[in-house]
Amino acid sequence: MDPLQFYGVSVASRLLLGTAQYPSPAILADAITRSEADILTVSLRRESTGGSGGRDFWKLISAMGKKILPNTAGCHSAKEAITTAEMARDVFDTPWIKLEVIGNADTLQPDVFGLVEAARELCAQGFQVFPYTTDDLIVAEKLLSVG
Amino acid sequence: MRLIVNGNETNVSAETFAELLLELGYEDMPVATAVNMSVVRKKDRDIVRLKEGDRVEILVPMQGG
Repeated sequence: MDPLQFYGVSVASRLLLGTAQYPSPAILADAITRSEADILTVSLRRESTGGSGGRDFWKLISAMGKKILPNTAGCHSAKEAITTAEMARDVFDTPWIKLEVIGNADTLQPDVFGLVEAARELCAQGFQVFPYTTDDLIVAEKLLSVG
Repeated sequence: MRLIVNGNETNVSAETFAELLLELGYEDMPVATAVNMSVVRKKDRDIVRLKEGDRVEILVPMQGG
């Protein structure tokens, strides 16, 4: 099987691993190692002032030596997602962004209209976008047409 | 000076973004920052001056899917 490629970067594993909802940091680290995934998704969120959760999490993730795919989880508008993507690029030093514009907070269904709008702007800024979308082929065509 | 930091009213003595991060205990931590919905890049934190009532966002890497 040919290696999977994202924007010219080859990865050996076809599994992209999320880092949320693990019962403990030790289990997260174990899952990353055993999965042999090359790409980990992480988010950017508010933390209480001076809290250590983010610091400890980042120490664990950066020690794993994997490629980081930041996301825009929790964003409900194109503008919010664009700002979060710009912040993610600054902190993670990568043009990659898993672009999520959430349409419904309960089902987490994407707002595909906001998604296309945000993708257009981010591609124009040089981002390499991984859109969180539906299986709608017309939406996929729109996403391709914006970059 | 009164700022809105991550949605909470906060009184600080910092005048620049870099000073604010030190004052709030974010030193040696990877953070992403914005003021009034405009991103403040790492390289600009020493020169971006804050003013009364600014809405500041400080985001940190967290678990995500």
